[in-house]
Amino acid sequence: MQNHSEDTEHDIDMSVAEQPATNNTDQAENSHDSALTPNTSDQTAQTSEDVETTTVASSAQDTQASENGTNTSPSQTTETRSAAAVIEDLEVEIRSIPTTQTESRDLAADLLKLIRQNLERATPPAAEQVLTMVRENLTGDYLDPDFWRGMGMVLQYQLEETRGLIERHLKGDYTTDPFGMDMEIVEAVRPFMAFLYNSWWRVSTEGLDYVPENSRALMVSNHSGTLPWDGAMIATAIMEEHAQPRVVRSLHLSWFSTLPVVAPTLATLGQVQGLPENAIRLLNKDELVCVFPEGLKGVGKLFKDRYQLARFGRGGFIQMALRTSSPIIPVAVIGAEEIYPMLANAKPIARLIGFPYFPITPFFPWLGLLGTIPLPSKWTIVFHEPIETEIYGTKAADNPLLVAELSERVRTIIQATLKEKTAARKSIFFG
Amino acid sequence: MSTIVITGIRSRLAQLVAGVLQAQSDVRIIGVDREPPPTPLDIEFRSLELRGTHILDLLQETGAQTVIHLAQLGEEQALVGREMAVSGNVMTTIELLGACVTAKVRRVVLRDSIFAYGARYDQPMFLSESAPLQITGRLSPFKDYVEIARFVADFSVKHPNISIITLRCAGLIGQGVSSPLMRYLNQPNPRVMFGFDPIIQVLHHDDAAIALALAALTPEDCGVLHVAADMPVTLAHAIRMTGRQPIPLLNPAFDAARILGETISFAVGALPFDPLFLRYPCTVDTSKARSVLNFAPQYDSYTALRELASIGTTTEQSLNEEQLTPSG
Repeated sequence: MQNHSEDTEHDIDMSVAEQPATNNTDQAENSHDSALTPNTSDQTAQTSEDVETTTVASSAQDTQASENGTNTSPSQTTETRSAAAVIEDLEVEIRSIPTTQTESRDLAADLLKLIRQNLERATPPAAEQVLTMVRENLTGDYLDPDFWRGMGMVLQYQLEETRGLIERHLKGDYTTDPFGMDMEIVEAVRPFMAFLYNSWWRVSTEGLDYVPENSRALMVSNHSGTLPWDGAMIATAIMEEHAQPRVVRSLHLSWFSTLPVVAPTLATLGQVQGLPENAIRLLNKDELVCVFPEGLKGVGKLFKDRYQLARFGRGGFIQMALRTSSPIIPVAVIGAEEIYPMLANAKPIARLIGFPYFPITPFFPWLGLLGTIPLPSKWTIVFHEPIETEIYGTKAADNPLLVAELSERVRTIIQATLKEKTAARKSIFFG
Repeated sequence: MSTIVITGIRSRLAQLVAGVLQAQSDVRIIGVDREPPPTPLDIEFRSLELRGTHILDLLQETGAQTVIHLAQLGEEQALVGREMAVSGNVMTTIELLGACVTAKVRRVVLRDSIFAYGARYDQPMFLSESAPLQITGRLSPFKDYVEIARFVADFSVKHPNISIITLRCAGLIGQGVSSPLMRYLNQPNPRVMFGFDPIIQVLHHDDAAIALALAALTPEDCGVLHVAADMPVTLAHAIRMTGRQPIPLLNPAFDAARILGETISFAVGALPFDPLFLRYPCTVDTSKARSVLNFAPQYDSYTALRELASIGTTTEQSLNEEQLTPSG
């Protein structure tokens, strides 16, 4: 996030965009954390004594309390924190329940976590509303259908909350970077991405320290999985787990820029059309750029060819790195090949609708939209030691032999890791 | 004492440029147009048909060293016929350049548009001055600009004694400005293409005037320069910042409007440029103007566009008045 240093215009955007958020938290921390905090800690103590009954009782109590304090803003901001705290308690509580069905338990807890993360962005009155709903409807018993109904209500409310964001966008009251990235939207989809990252694919990472904190770097990754979820997860890894969270600017195929809806969505989320000029511009601004040199040959790979790297384009990505003296970080993504096992490519249909490939998986197109839900395989993302390109000088970009050699080196590193990791894992779904 | 001739002085932009130049001491400014401006200016005015011999006479008589050519058709006025546009834009510029060479003028400043680069799906963002030009659509003055630029590239090689500076400007906006982009933005609901939202660049007319004046005064021989406001925004964002809401239409609607013309154009509204510009971005890198002219725009896209929101309908009225006056 903090890496858009050279671009002064953008810096202005960022500070404007981030201000409201910081203000909120400051307020909450500085001025009024006394009023209701003891109350909350009382609850926590009670809750730990007896799991079910107290939560119900205290929620009734607290609903009253929050109704009384609706009009005063100090209590609202405190509520923001206690709302998150209450949900966190509930989450911890659910996770600690001993059960054989660990998956549905974890899912319930993860959903709560998702709500909690969303709450961190919410306005105080909204957070209060959510808190009331949680207290009224949610108990620690995730097996109870009422729990899920309550969960649905809370999620629906949060959806309505995003309407505020949309309304502001309709008034043009937001900022973007020169490539059209809107940090507010990036932040808004973050909890969902984090959910996929932590709970759906349970991504584990290695070598995250190799990714620089604020200088330029070009990440080069294998591409797989029919839909480019791998790019999204690499970006989420940096956002969620890196010491200095920053936005990854992935380069996408030019073809996506011709697709309605897809083109502006990708731009809003910080993706940039994969042209060398764009990449060089981003790298010169010290951004973290991610490229998938396999391109379509990678995502449109058949299941039988999984983890076999396709040709690495024409080495254009090496030229970008050389011209900007950016270190190259090879990245291997394991697990993405299994999310949509593409058994066949229905080329005639693809040609008919103008798509580069049309996947036939065990679920798609047979189950329609349901078939586009990716399988929850277990992922590992390995970041490798950077290959420094500065030593070659910027002119080396015009030396085809060096470019080919470096390209092959990157490819070999990724392929070796893919082999090693796929051989080591015992199960596709559990790692 | 140097003499600067500004053509198309009836236009608001030309008057602004004259205003900026007047602040400089030791400059004689001569405004040229077919008819005198509605409100008298405090600069010398010559009523002149922009044809080669007339211009040559003027240049030789006044001994002008610099010419700023701002008499393009289709910028201040709404669209004109194709034939009139070619003779008014392309031929006039060619004759003007010829006259300048004969009269030993040292410097010519031409106005151009960044739309001369065209809109294409595989075009990089923020093009440099060396990017190839491409005609997108058949509408003036953008098509004419490409023709002029190609002529100028050839002409300046053959006549090294004259330095021709082309300022390739982003869409001009501002209070009371009449430009293709303003005619589009001034509609109650500008139409956009469904599912697309390209990045656009704008330029406040005050900044444009300063850039043109700087180009006229700079001693450098700098060729083509890009001028645009900082912090580009997406098209829909720009429309919303002016306090309007875009209406998305499917691509075929624009095709239909082009083929069927008048009968259906009410659905598409005023579109003074090709629909492809609603689909793909056409953006330029402005760093060269920054370093060569030492020019930094005062307005970024946000301030320039928000200024439009506060003025509302008054612009539309003045715009219509300007469109009604048939002048070059």
